[in-house]
Amino acid sequence: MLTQIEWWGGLIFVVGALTYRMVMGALETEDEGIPWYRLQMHAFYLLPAVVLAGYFYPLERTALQYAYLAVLGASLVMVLVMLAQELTGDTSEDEAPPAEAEASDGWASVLGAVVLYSPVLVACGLGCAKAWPMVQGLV
Amino acid sequence: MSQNTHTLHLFFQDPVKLKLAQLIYRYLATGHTEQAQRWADRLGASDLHALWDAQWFNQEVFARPDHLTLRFDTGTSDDLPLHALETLFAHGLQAAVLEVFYDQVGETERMHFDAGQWVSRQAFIQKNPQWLPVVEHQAGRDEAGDASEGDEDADYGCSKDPVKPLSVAQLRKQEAQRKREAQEAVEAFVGLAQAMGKSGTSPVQGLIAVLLLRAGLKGLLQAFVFTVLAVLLFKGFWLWLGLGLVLAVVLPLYYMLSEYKTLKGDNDDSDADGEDGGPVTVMASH
Repeated sequence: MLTQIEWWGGLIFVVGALTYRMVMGALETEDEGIPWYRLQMHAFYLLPAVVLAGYFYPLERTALQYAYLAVLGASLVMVLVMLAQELTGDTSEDEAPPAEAEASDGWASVLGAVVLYSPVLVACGLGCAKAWPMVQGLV
Repeated sequence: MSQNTHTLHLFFQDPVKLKLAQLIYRYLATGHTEQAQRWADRLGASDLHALWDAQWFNQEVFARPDHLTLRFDTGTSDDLPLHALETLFAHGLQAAVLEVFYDQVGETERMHFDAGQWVSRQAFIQKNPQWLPVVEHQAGRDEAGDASEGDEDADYGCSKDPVKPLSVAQLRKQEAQRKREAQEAVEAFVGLAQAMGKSGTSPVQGLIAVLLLRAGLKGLLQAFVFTVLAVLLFKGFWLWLGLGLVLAVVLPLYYMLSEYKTLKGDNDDSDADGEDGGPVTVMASH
């Protein structure tokens, strides 16, 4: 036990890692150009992982608090971008599985989205809960 | 019997050394080793075995005014003439091009050497533009029957380029190691097949068992790595240990089952193909 991460945080990490692998495995690799959608998905999963890890540490120095807020802000932006893409259907061709499921079954789609995005959403929620007193202290 | 046909173009900077090399190889090709030894001593490369492999056959030597071309055949598993190239580079050779026609698969491969290093075709042309007509015209003439605009592409296509320049000595070491590893793999497989033959198990069954065992070990290893990482990174020792134990049972079973399904699927396919079966069946019959 080299870190201060609680057991339930570990479970969120494990579920997040599994869904991350599933989603990245479902994306096709593009041979040409910069794979923007893949990069976006990497950021969508990895930034909240940093937020979740930071949740378990005290972060007493001001610089660390600002860095944490910056990463949290970036994660929220990624979540909003994904949400906007899901709602408008404006994703690239190699789309994540939940949108495919959407076409076949509404409930399955909702369930799929909840399972796939829940670790990210939980991490962002915890990050916000930690950040609120931090923001009040800094302002 | 299949064989590899080698064409080796040798370019010397010093005309005297070119002449000496021409004399050595002409005498070697005609079997006059004493004469060849005399000229090899003059060149400074007194070991004839370093210049000529006794296993080469159908040898021909073409002495041109500005270069030397050797042509010879070897067995399909014999080495490239890298030892000779290394020796010649140490005694005045400036550049060389080795073309090998693999009779067994009907493919040609060309390797370019400059200043003791295996280089890309592009680098060779940049440094030695004067030799390009010699090297690639030769190839064009050989395939004169179907000379067309595709010829130039064919010349590019058969060039085997290194990722970065590699000295001939290093290349020789790599080739020797590759050959040794391949030999060891063959010996290991033969040993396995013999052991199975003695114990009355068919080699195919044995191979399937080895593959299944490997799949199981892969699952076990993954479970172990997961447990160690989780225990180190997260609190809750017993939770992660328990989860790791469950994974140590589930993952090997899962991998073995999927491996078994793949193998069974392959067997079914090969059975459907015909009575001869796939490569596994062919190996088993030997």
